[in-house]
Amino acid sequence: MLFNLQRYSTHDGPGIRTVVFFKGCTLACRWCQNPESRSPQRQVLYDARLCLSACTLCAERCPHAIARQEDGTLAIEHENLTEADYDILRGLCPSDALNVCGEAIDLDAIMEQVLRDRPYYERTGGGLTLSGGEPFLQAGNCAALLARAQAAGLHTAVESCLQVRWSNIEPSLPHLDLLLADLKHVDAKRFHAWTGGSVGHVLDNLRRLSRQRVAMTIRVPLIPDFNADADSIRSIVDFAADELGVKEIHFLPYHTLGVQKYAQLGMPYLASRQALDTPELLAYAESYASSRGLAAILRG
Amino acid sequence: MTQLDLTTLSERIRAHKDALIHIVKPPICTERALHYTQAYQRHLDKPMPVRRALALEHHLRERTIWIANDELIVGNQASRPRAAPIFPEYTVGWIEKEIDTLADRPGAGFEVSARDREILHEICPWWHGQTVLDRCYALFSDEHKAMLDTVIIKAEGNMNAGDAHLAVDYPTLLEQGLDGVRARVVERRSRIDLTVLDDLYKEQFLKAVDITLAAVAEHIERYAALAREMAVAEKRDWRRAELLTIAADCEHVAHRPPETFRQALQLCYFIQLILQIESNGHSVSFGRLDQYLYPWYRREVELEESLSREAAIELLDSCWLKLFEVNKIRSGSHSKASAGSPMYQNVTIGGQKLVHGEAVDAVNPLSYAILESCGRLRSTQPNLSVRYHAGLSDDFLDACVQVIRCGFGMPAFNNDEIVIPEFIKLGVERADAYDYAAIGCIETAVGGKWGYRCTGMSFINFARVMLAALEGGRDATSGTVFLPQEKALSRGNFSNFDEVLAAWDTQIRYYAKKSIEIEYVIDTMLEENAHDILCSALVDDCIERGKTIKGGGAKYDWVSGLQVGIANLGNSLAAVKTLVFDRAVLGQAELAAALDKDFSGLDGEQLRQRLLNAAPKYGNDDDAVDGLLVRAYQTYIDELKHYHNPRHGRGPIGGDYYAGTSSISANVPFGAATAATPDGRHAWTPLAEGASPAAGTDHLGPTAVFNSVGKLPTAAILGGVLLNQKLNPATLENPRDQQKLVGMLRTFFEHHHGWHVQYNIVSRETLLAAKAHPEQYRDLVVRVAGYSAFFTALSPEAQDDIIARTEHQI
Repeated sequence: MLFNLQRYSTHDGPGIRTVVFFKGCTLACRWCQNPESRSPQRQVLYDARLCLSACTLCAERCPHAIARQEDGTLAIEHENLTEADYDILRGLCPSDALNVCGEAIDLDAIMEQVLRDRPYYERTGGGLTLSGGEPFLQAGNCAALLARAQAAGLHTAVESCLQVRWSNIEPSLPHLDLLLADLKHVDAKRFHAWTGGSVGHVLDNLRRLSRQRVAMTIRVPLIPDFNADADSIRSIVDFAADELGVKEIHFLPYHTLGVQKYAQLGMPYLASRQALDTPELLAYAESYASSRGLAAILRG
Repeated sequence: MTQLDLTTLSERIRAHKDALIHIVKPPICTERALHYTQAYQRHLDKPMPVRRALALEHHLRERTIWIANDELIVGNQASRPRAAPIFPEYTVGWIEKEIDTLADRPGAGFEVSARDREILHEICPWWHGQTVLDRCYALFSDEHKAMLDTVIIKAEGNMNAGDAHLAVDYPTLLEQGLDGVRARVVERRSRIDLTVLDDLYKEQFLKAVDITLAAVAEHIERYAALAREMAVAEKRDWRRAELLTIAADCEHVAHRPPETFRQALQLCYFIQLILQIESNGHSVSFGRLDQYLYPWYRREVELEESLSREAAIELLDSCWLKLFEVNKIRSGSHSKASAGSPMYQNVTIGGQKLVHGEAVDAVNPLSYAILESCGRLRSTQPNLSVRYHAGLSDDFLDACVQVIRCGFGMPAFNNDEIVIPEFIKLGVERADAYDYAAIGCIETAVGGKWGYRCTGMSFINFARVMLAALEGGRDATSGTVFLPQEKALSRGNFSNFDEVLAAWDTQIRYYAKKSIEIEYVIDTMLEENAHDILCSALVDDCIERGKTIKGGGAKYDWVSGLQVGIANLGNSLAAVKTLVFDRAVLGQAELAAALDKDFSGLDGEQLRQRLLNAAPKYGNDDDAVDGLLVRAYQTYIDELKHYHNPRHGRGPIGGDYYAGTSSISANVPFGAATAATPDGRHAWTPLAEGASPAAGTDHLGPTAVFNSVGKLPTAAILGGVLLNQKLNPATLENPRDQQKLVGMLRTFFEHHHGWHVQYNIVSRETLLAAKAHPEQYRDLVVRVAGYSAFFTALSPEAQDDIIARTEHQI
């Protein structure tokens, strides 16, 4: 299942790229700016700003889950929505206020879209990036799509949190030109508290990928109260320098562009509502990385 | 990579710019109107070309001249800075009607003194019946008048002003000097045989040229005298020295070819200026300034080092401010289509040149200096265009992006990779095709060899023609049926979508023909009543042929009208096809009723949202809609092939029409006169601008937009394919993102053979703040259509149109 296809992406690997976002993730990072990417199931996104306040189309069709409230917005009981409801709701809302997020992967349709920008990839060294969610979670589709892209002569990349079994990763490797690997933290306790995952597993995967000489770019989201501090940055950079032998590390300062989507999904938002604005910390990250022989790039 | 210095401005340039941009309501100047009236009355017996020459001569002798702001380049169009002269020979109708309310026009206000008002009320009645506009109306059929009256076709700007939209032959002028051009006239007159009828007319034209060139020289000498006089009273030594240099330069270029960079620039400016005194046609362009001024620049700046690069840039900036002083007053309705009082004085840099028949990159150090000077000044004039080609260096393209990032919408790009081959296919000689320049907005022509209006003829409202095709031929705005047809949505009698397309074909062919009939009337009246003598003298091959440009004097002559509402046409047809015919979720009568009541009520809004969201939209690389648009547009393009313009067979190569979309800001007033459309657009709101996607409908980013635009039959739209893109400034901060933008541009131009693109790099927040607090944002320049304007000088409607455009994140 995928939830978005985004053309002219410029921060997800080299050159101009198209990014296919897979739906379903093994982590639940508090700061995640694509909350619709976590569940492997279809979901409803509701943007009250676009809703026609007197319209009853959706509430009439799904009365057990959707009701019009007095303030003119909809109350949606997400847990009451069934697969049948999703089929009904797809394309029903005239103003796109209510959208069903998630569709089955159709490799032909995806490749048809992806190849439309081929001239831009060729000019800029770009190509296809699979992101998510966690692309490796859908190992078969992930490998198949990469193989198709590679056969078409495109540069291929995957953005992964690496909280997956090795057997999910392995089939994709022959078709992968670049792995954009998250390294969110090296501290097991803090990692688990903020993402629900096991850092040991992630680090093992990273070491193994490094041993197999998979081309990797390490990406570190800098999150306030989680890892946006000098100690965390040092430990992360040290791991990348000592154990992974990479030459480049990307720091992605925390932003809040996706906060709105939590409300649209009816989910609480648990991370800071302030974007990271600490130029001195970024400067420190850059200089420390460089002292360890790594080129630091901000905002990937 | 070359890093441009985009912040340095000399104190005098800064002060001059400040003084100009704070003139919020410029004055009008009645001197020209008065002098032309006097001269026309005195010389009623003379043939029109001679009368026109004598009128210009009289005005140049009598008018107020001044040198101000410690300027380095001198010359003035009117009695005060930014004052707009009046040109009564084209029309006095709107002037008489609007004279008392000129100060209150939003976005186009002018101050009129009581004395000026008095003069105009005295002068105007004499012109009744002999203006260009009056004489056009005497020739129009009732149907023409009705179409113009309801503005389904707009040609007002062609009747109440001169033509222009060209670049004159500056290279030859610089080489021969004014006396050299005059010598050619004398020589040509020596071959006149007055026993040949044609020669009788030719002699009158050549005589007029001679009078005009002498008047221009004499006028330049007036500036020399003024500068000397001012030098006597000048207390600052440095300025006294400058004034004496100005005097000497003026004395020199009044007759002889320039010897210095400064003299060359000064001579070009004088001509640029007097062309815009002779006629109020706009889009008078410099052509390839970096090419023809380079020999002087090279000698003084690079070889002899007698002029510093900084001093050369200051001269350029001084010239640009003098261009900005040139102004034009338009009627209230015309000014809405030309938001922000643009003059479209284009300067072209870059591109290719032929060396021993081989095409090579033409970028030179002066190209960089011009780019840098414009980036520092950030004014609306000149309208700076870069000719892109595959061999343009990354360094120069990067320098262009540095200036684009400044956010004032320049430079715009034109693409050699399509213009040159298509010009050659049309019949333009290879050497000329390689020497083309941008004219006005984004259109192109060969400087000094091409007639007027390579675009800028009449405007057709495609959206309204499409509505008529859907509804029995009835124009939804006026209720008039110009061309009746049996099929109408409200009657529910379209059997299938092909019949809708067939109705469009029939209607648009009819309107295309009507627009050309209207243009024939206007062209003829301009030819007979408003000869541009100086302009013709500087365009090949008018002197040899003894003809004005309008009479067929130019070497090439193709013209184009403008089609407005391109995206609305494609999106509306796609919505009708998808929802009414393919999916059958919407009834014909239901759609007709919803359009008629502008989607009012919940049902109407639900339907409108479906039209917006459930049908494909141009700009998203979706063949379903892009293909329909191309199919529909092609009918208009094919129809044009049935006609020749009035110069056909009278001398020029060409003499035909092609299509064009560089419709300035006409999308705003045209939208204000267009009922609701099936693309979900509300009645009376702006149409889509140029060939850009409709605001807010392009969801897939800039590559998808490029791919959609790339599908248009660009080779047949040589009047220009106008594409504005708006980028958030934050997304161009990092050099790697800038490189990706460059990569995308190169792909668009080389792979898709895109015609043109231009950028607005200004955030929505800034625009909203500037709308709310204009006094704090007087220097904010934005891209409107094929030109830039001071944002606070725009009407609120035009401001909103720019704010609403899709802002792409990179």
